[in-house]
Amino acid sequence: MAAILLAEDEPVLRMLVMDSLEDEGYEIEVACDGEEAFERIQEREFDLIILDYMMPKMTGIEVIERTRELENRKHTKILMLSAKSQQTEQDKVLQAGADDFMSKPFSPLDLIAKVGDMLDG
Amino acid sequence: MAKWRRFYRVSITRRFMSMLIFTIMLILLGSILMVWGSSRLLSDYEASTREMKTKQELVSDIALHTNDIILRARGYYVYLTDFEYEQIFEQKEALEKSIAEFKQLGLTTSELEIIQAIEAFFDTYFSSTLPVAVEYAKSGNYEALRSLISADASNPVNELISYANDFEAYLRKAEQEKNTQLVRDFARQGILFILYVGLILVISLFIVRRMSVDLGGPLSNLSLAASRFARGDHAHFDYQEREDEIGRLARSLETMMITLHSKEEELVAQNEELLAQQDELQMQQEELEHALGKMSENERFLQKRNLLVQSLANTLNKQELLDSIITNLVKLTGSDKGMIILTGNGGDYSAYGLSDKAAEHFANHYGESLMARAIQKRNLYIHEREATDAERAYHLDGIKVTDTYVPVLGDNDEIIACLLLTKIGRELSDQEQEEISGLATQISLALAKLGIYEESEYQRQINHDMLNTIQEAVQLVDTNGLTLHVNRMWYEMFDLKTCVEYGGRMELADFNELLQKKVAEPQALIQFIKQVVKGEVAGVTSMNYELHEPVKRYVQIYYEPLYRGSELFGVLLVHRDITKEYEVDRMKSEFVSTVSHELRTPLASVLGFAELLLHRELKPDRQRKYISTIHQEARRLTTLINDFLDLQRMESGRQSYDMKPAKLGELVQEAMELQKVNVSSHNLIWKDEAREAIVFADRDKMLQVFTNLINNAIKYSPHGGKITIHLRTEKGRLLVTTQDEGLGIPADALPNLFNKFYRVDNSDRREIGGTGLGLAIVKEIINRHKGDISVHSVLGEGSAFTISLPLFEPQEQGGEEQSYPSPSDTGAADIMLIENDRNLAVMLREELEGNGYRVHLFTEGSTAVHAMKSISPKVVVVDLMLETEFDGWAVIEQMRSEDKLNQIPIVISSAFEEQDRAAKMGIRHFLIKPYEPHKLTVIIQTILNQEPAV
Repeated sequence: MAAILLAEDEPVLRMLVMDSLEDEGYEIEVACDGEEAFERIQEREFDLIILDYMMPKMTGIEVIERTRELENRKHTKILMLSAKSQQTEQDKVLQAGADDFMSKPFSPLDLIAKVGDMLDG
Repeated sequence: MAKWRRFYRVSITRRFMSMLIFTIMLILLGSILMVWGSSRLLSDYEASTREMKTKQELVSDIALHTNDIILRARGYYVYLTDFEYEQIFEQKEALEKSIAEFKQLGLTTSELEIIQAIEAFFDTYFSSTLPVAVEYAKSGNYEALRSLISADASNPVNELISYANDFEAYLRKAEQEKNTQLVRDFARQGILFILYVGLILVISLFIVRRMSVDLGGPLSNLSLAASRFARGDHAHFDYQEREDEIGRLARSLETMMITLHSKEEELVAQNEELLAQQDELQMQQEELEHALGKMSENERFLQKRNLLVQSLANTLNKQELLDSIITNLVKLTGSDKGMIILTGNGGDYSAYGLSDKAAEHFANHYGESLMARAIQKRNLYIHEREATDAERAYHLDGIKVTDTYVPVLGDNDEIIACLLLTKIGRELSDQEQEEISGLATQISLALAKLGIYEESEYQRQINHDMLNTIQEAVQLVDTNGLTLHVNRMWYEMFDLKTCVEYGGRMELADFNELLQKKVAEPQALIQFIKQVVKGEVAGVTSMNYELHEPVKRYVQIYYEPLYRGSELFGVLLVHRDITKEYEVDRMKSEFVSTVSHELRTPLASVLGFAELLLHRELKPDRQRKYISTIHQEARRLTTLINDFLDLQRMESGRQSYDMKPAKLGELVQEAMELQKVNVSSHNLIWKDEAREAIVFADRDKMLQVFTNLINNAIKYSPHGGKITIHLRTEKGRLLVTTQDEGLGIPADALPNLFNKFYRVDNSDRREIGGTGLGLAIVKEIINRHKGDISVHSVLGEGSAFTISLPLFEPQEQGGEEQSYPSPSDTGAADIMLIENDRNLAVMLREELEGNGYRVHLFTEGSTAVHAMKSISPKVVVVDLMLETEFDGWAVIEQMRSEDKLNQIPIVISSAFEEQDRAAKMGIRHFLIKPYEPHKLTVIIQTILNQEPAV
């Protein structure tokens, strides 16, 4: 089963995403801030990384950038969750190296579908 | 002959020369005759002498030869030698030769006889005697011989010898005669020559006389005539007919005289003309002399005026100028003392040669002196008087003093200054009077110049002040990029004292250099300015840039072209500090972004879990958990929205406060009770050291403050611990501290702690949750209560928040009452406050009363205007939005329409930004709500300081 890293500082949202995806049978690992997320990424390889945009210590963008700098993480799929929905923000995120983007509030079912698509593709 | 005559008559020279040559010829002829005569005499004499000599010699030779023949013959007789014999014949030949010669000469008869005798002798001798004698000798017959010789010997020979001797004597005698004859001839000739010379002299004299008669007479006549003519008499002479020089001279003279005569007439005419001209010239000269006199008079005056102008201190200081004017004027006019007084405001004056006291007295009373006459006449007034004792000094006799009162007229013939000059012991000439009048004009000009300068200086100062008061940095750059002028704010903005470090001239390159140093990303700005200066910018009128020195500022630069006439003179660059706006803008967008983020997070939870509940088959415990989460998140959302709206209301000043005296201890305890539900492992400790302390507060808001603080203390002590709430008084203030033993706050977070949505950026705190608005609300409320909040925290050990509030003074009876104190109350200034927000009204009233003003508070406009007449407030503070129809503008209009009220300064205190309308009504003081109360005090103080007379 695919391994997913979820980095989200809001506990309630963390629970929401985790519950949704675990029910689908994915193996979920969580991180509560950017630094922690980057540590996890360095430790092992995930099939997908879901990152919150606004996180303490290191923002989602920074995590993406640093991840892409790693030799063997250049092609790891990254999905960004953000409360910022403006087009400019989306562009910024995609430019930094994310593969896809979802804005908050999001539908858990859409998320599940998107995750499935990303892992298949 | 006639030709020769004519030849002579034509030329005196010729005549004279002819006569001279003639005379010389005569002399020459005489001399030649004389020489010839003499030489003939001499040659005759020499010829006769030579003949006689020759005769004599020949006679001698004959005698000698004769003798020799005889002797040789005798020798031969004796010796019989051939030689002797031959000699006899030789001698015979010589003798014959001499005789022949002698015969050639003219011989006298006697001489001829002698010669013939001799020849006859020797014919005989040689034909007979000698051959006989030779035969005798040869035969030795001496006897015969002797006889023979003796027989013939004597006769002719002896005779010859004696003749020779006689002849010699004769010759000598004849020579002598000849000599005498010669001398006589010479003498006769000399006499003849002298006579001849005398004759020539006589002839010469005659010639000279003729010449003098012929030449001298006419010449002297002519010269006489000429000199007579020269004298102007009539001259007559009649030599014109003559053909020689005299004739010519006479004719020439006559012609000349005629010519001269005609010329003279011409000259006389010319002379008359010249005389007329001369008269005219003389008249002109007189005119010129007159003009010259005037000119030199003018020149003298101009010199004096120039001296005055030059000596006037080149100053624009009024007093210096006056001092200079009077000093120089006294000197120039030869006065002894003098004074100048300006008639305008201030009555400045300057005196020379006067005591301070006298000068001051005159300055104050000049209008009552004779100056009044000068002013009335608008001209000099001269007064002569006896010297006063002081002026006379030690002189005993009376001294005349001349006072000259001079009014100095301005452009419009108004009196701008008065002058008094005093001359002791000397009179003032008319010319001096005129000069003084002239110099007064000069002084008027100097004063006018000063006036213009003062006016322009005043204007300049105003402009300068205005420019420096403007909060924008203003920079005037000419079209070459040279900075011509900047204001104070400009220096401040670019942290420069002066432009000195740029040589006092800041070229565009210098300014660019400055920008390179101080501006982040300067290239765009430099480019912009370059184009602006060149006049190339089209469309873009401003740009923003960031200054990073001396302090970080955001600056907007815009420009306005400056024209002089139609020509571009330069560009006004205005650097506007938009840091605040920028910050506000940034905060706004950040705020929106934050709010959106803060709202989206709980929304995402609510929506997400609701969706799961709807679309998933879930176990009941999970359902429960999800529903509880949804509830919790929805509540969080509500709180967030409430807090947010609260804060917005408070910040905009629209929050109303119900201020009442309240016991704070009770409020805090109430809050504690409310929070007890949230307490898990915490120990809440209540420490009350100010149980009865009363503050003037809005209960609900205070409750909110302490609820927030206690809630925070609980939330951020996730591991429990003591939470101490400590109430105490200190220096007239009430202090409340909430102390926890929780997470504490990192030092770098402390400055931002009270900012909206600020949350200490830490994931473990995220678990705690919160809106990030609580402390901002607390601070806002506390500020409204004139309180302070401070925080002390050590990371990991806990935090302590302390609130300080002013204690309520019981004698202050709140703000509701509307009192009408009588205007006779003295001391503090009366301020009328018209405000319908009671909380704000009370707050402002406290603020003003705290600063010593007497405040009259009104909530209705109409009542206020009605009361205004009796109160006569110094300042009226009015809110625009009042409850009744009679709003703030109505109050202002009413005030403006009434004489007694229209001078009272007005301060508008409003949430509406209607400064333009206020400005139209002449109201400059506008406070936009919310504002800090002390700003009102500052404005009122400013007004009262400015307008003390109202």
